[in-house]
Amino acid sequence: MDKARPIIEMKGIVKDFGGLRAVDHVDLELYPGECLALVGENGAGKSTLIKVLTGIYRPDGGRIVVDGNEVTINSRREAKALGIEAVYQELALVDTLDAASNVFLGGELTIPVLGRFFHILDNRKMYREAQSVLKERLGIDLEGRKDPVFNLSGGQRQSVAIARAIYWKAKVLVMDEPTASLGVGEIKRTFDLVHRATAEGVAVIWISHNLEQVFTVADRILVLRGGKCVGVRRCDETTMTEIVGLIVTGVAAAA
Amino acid sequence: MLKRGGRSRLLRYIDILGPWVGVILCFIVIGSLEPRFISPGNISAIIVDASTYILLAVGMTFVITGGGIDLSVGSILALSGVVMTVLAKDTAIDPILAMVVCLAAGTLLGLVNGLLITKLKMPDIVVTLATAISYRALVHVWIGARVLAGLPPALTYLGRTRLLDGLLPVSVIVAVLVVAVADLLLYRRTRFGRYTIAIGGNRTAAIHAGIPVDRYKIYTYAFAGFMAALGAIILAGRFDAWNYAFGTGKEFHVIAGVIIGGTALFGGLGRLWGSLAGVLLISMLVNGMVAIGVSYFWQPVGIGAAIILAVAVYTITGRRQSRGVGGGE
Repeated sequence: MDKARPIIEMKGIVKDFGGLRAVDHVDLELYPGECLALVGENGAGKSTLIKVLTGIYRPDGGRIVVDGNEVTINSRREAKALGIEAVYQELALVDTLDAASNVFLGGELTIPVLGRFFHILDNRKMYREAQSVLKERLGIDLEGRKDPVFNLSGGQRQSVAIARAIYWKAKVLVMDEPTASLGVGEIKRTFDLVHRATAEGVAVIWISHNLEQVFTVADRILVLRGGKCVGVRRCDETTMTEIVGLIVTGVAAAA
Repeated sequence: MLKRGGRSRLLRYIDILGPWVGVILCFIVIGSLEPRFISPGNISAIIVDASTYILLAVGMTFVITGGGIDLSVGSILALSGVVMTVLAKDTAIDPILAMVVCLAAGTLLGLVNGLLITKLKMPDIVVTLATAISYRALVHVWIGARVLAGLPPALTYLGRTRLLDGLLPVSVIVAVLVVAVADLLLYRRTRFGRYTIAIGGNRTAAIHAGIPVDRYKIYTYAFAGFMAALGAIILAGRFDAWNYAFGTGKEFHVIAGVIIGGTALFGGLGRLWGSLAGVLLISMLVNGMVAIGVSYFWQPVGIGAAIILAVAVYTITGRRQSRGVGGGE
């Protein structure tokens, strides 16, 4: 795992909405195989910054470098093509389809029939492959269930969304408040999922208000305040007190 | 109201079997009030009548599953039927060719719906309402009050023929076969089916997955038009004639049948066999109400009651009827 070169570099990103500067010359570096937490109060610019990265907003200033190449990201599809995936349960999944269908949505495996003209879906193979990703790479066992994902728990749905991103070889997973509607057991499972993903070299951006969870799951923390980056710390080199201080006052409190 | 976690097995079975239970109940209740209702001859008449609308319901199921609605299927049936019967009667062309033209015409009329909806970005209900009226008007313009009777045998074969000494109408075989192919093949094992479900279930997710949503929407409407034309062929065969009134108002029979059958009105979940049962149930109700002497004017009330009852059952079994989580950024 080459930790020397970042997979994502956002340099001097600016985003304005009318007279309001939501993101003010923010630099962000993200390395393969790490989990970077993005913290800050509501309105600090976390969501906006991430939307710039995932192609929903275009920055008014600054550059984005992905894997050494400078890029412009004009749409969510372009972000996906670059390997940047936002994992939101609600956005990614079709509730009435089963897990395997969701993992393969848009890229189904098919069996050609009558020459190459007509293709039917290879449901069995997609089921096996999806099970393999979920079980072996993410440690989630759906126990052979083929029912629609709306029957699954929040944590299981999230793992399907992550499995989808991983299957399609995402390099960066963006998770925005991923534990918001989960129970305790599922929160732990989400941490496990993140660790498994990072172990494979995937980089994870974790946006959250919950600093306890951040210190459990993340390697580094980037603090935003008023649209500006006020500090980047390694989790093992800082304390919650210092981070809280940065969030609230923008100044590193005495550790 | 989205219910996470598993619903109980029992509720799920009620959900799927519901319309069939309705069919059986109808059979028993009306049959006990009026035994002539369940005579083989009457049952035969009911299922033959239903067969045309089952075909339309197959198309409608895909349209609704994809998040749309088609109010024009009755008019497409009428117009493609007119094209076919006028060609068959007034020209020397091969009746089989007339049937092919009918199917092509229906598909084209459906295609128009799909194009107007996606390119003009107008609501499905508005566009198909407009085409319903326009296509119907074209029928009047074309044949006025004329009745085209006495159609070539090749054309009427599918609608008119009964095998096994009159017990097994070919039209019913066609309807059941079409439903089987539509469910087992189209719905479950083609991109057409899969993407239709995705587009209706979570359009945002479908777009983000790279699915060409407009294209597949158009396919559903073209398919509905094709099915309406197939229904026209059956109908022409049954009556060995055509007139301007055929198909009038039938979109409601079809839509009601699809809803009772369990297809979610806002998309994402299609129940093809359920649509068959739902259409059959309504045909039984209409016939049955006549059999027990209910006034013609009360019949729509009976159908309305059936719809409300069905939706109530689905709500109790935890099925969401409102637009599901579609995300939004």
